[in-house]
Amino acid sequence: MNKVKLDPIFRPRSVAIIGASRTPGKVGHILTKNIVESGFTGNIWPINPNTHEVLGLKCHATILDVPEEVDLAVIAIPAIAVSKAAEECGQKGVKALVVVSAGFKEIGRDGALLENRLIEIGKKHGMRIQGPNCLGIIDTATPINLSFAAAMPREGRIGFISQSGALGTAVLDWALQEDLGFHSFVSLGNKADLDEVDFIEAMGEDENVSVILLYLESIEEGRRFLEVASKVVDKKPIVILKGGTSSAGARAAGSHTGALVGSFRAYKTAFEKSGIIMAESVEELFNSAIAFSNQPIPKNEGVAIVTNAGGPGILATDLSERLGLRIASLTSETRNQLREGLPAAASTGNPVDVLGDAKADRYSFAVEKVLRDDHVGSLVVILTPQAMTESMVTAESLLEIHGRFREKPLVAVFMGGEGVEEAQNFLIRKGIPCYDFPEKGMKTLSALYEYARFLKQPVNNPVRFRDINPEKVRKVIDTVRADKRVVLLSHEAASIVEAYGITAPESRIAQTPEEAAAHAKELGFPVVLRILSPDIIHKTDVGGIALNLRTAEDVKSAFEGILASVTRFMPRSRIYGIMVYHMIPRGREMIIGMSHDVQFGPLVMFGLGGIYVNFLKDVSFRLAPLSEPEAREMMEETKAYSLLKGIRGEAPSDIEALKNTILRVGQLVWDFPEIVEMDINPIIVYGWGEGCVALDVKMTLSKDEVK
Amino acid sequence: MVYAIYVSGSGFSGKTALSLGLIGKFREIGLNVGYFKPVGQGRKMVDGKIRDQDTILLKEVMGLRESLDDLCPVVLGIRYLDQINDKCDELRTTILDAYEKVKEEKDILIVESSTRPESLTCCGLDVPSLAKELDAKIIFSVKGGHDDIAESAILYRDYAHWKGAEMLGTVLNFVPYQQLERMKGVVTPILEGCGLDVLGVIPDHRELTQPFVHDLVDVLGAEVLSGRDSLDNPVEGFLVGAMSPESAMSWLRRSVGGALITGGDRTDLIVTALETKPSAIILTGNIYPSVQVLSSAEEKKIPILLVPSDTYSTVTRLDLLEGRIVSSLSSPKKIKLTRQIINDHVDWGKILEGNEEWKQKKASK
Repeated sequence: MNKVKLDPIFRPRSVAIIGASRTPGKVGHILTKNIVESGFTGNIWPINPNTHEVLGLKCHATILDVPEEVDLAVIAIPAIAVSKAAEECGQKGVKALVVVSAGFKEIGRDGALLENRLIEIGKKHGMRIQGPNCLGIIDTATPINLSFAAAMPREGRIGFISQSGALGTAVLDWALQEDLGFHSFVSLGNKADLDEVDFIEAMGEDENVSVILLYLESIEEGRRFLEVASKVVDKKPIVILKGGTSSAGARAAGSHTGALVGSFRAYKTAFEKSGIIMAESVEELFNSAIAFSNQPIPKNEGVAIVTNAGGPGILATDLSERLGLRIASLTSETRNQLREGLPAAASTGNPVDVLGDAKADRYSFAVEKVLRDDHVGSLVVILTPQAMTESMVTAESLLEIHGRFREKPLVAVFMGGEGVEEAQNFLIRKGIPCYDFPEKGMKTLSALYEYARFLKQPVNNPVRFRDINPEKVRKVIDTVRADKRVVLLSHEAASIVEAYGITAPESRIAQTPEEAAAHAKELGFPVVLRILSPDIIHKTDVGGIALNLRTAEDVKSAFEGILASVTRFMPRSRIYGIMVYHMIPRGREMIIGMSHDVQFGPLVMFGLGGIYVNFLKDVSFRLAPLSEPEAREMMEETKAYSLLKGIRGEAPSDIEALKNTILRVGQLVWDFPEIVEMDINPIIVYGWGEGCVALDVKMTLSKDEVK
Repeated sequence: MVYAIYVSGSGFSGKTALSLGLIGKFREIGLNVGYFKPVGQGRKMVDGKIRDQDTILLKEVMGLRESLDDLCPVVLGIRYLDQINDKCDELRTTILDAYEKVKEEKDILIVESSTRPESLTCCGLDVPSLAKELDAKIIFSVKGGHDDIAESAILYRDYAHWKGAEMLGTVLNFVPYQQLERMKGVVTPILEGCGLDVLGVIPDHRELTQPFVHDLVDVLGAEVLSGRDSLDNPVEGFLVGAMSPESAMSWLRRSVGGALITGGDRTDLIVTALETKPSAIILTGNIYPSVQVLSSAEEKKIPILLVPSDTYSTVTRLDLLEGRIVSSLSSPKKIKLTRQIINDHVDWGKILEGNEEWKQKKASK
């Protein structure tokens, strides 16, 4: 899918409106009126068999009657009639459809059938389809307004893709009032054919778009999304507001779309991996958008604050620390200049306090000196309305000075109401983000930095070890499949991780107490016995494990004991035998896990292991395949990392071996996507250079090949 | 003369499946095989009479022409001892009369005992007494995998002898996969050392004991909202969903053929479950899911069942399915499987030889 193919939607040469109407208030009328008033320069062809003209345009009975080629058709007729109209569009050679009509998948089974029919027609004729059940599209550069939105926003550089059409139009309405510029707005609707990934790709290639905003509830093809988004992010920022992130929200979203909303954790991990910036509210989404569409990406970390009031300056400083922003330390040269030019009571450190009586000229002086400082990467100017304040003049001079320092982002916080309103609007219109409270300003700045840091990251390729044995893994999986199981037995799971170079204790399987005792002698005492059953997850809870057995007699009686206990607690479990292995020494207990996310694939987890894992939740996540820095970050993000490094004179653990184990797990689950759940809990880490051992491995396969 | 084989055994030891399999197998080799259940048990009223469910089912799937009254002349209710009250002779006559009708023209008659062999001992109509009276030979089925139950077959054999009946042998049924070798290598020799023939060691066929989704529909009185074509999904186990979708995911993935029980408002769980191929999703409390969820389930062909009861009552009702293999035997797949089991794991030739006439016939061949 390249840009050329979506051109019929963003830049059609001619448009047909199927269902155009003369009756004001009808969808077919609003759409026709909007496109006429948008200043669209191509031909507009209303289609309606019951009338001869709509808004002064000649109307045809069917699209087949139109005397010229049509690039794009908008369909706004009842769902039941859409297939026929779409088929005619196909015959006519229309390149793309925007289906506004509702009554498809969102209403249930009958609608889903209609939608499938529509998809087939699109495929047959090579027509791309936006919607159905969408609110259309706007492109201010073309210009074209094929939506329900009352008026088109000003031309700008923001591309906005929304899964909720209504949220989209509400935002556009607000944008009009705020005089915010947009490049384009796309309502996704049911995503029968074109989805967010297609539009991200198209907007990514459009040089007139400098930031892409997304409102999404679900992503169906997570991996494709990641792939495309990662490429686009290198060129321009993507800011996303994800709906359905709370458990109640997920229920609402699931009910709304009928699709799995997916775990928020997986989304968050995926967005971080691809450098997408997450917003937590609609306001934050647009605050970031304003900054990204007009401000440069900061080149260095130092944030400077110029304020005329101490309080807001202190608040902004507190916030920067919390948001991971670094307050710049001004050079002594800058400080000296400030001291010379500002009143004695002014503060010349950062934040620079120009005092409450500062007029525009004092602001200009301070701002210019600060921006000139090499330690300063970005600037926040805070203004509170006081008796002497000249908000409008200050705004004008800010704009003028910033024109000379275009490479450093400038964010304004003009606090107050009517007194600063004119200045605020002026700045926003001129492309300087201006907020009423420091929180918003600092949040926006942190989004700019987040993106800047992402761009600076070196490209890291996933690590691939060569000393692996995929054939062995395949063999084990086949055996399990042949036994019609999805849950692997302990020894099977252990042999799979061993095939990928992860150490597990050597083990044998016994069916009788005598056999167990014989194995124990070969492996060397002390040994551990562990029940083998696909039905038992928490083996300790049902007495399925016996530790530290030192004699053959111990082993035999433990064998009987385990069987007795397991049959008592879980009488219906299938027992495959008892596993015997040499008891290994204690070390730090960690966990490496994986759950195959429905949207994004294998999500690898690392954290503090043992029985506290569910309680302390000291864990971190990354999507496989993993690069070396990712594996390292996973460890560093946990509190347990300090333990591993050694606290209070303790010797450090073998972090290097642990990191490699994480990477090997990442490689294994990437190579074998049929492994849908996996846990190494615990993985025992020994001292530096002594490695780590996967003590207990659990694994579940997908059900795809079962039945 | 008809050869009557009395299939008896401990409770839920697979008697009906064994009977079905034997009928199927003997028919396959060209014999005229009948079925008779002198004493049945009933919970359900059909046309104003308590009927034995197994008999209704067997009549249907085996195409038996005899009336239900003849196939199963005595049906006991739950408090049947109240009703008997000096009627023992009457019951005996009823049974013998029916027997005369049912055995007509048959080569072999499979006689199935009631759930427990001791039923109607007070009337002298227990299994050994009846077997003696009907001149039937007993096959005693026990649940394999439990040493004490296997041993109870010996006790029962001795009891049958004492009552003057003859036991052909025992069948070790439902033997767990991992116990098979032990049952064959250790337990069988011990039983045979005590003079009890082991006629078969049958591995546990989960497919046979699993209910189907339509059994859930029956027992719960559920409304089917989607996936009507998948009601013959076998159901293996239930998961009550009250946890977060992420925790549920791991459980759902582990269970093959599991059914999820949750509330209709737990859309997050329902859509998660739809990704993991459950056999069915049971929504409690009569809360309809949204149409989008239903159309998604429809697309994936997963049955969604709606029940009015709360989760606890639903689970309690599902307990009724325990061991009720028979309710699901109607599937042609299962019927074929019962015959296959007899073929593969039961010495049916030896069962035939238990009758002198057949033994001679075989010898002369």
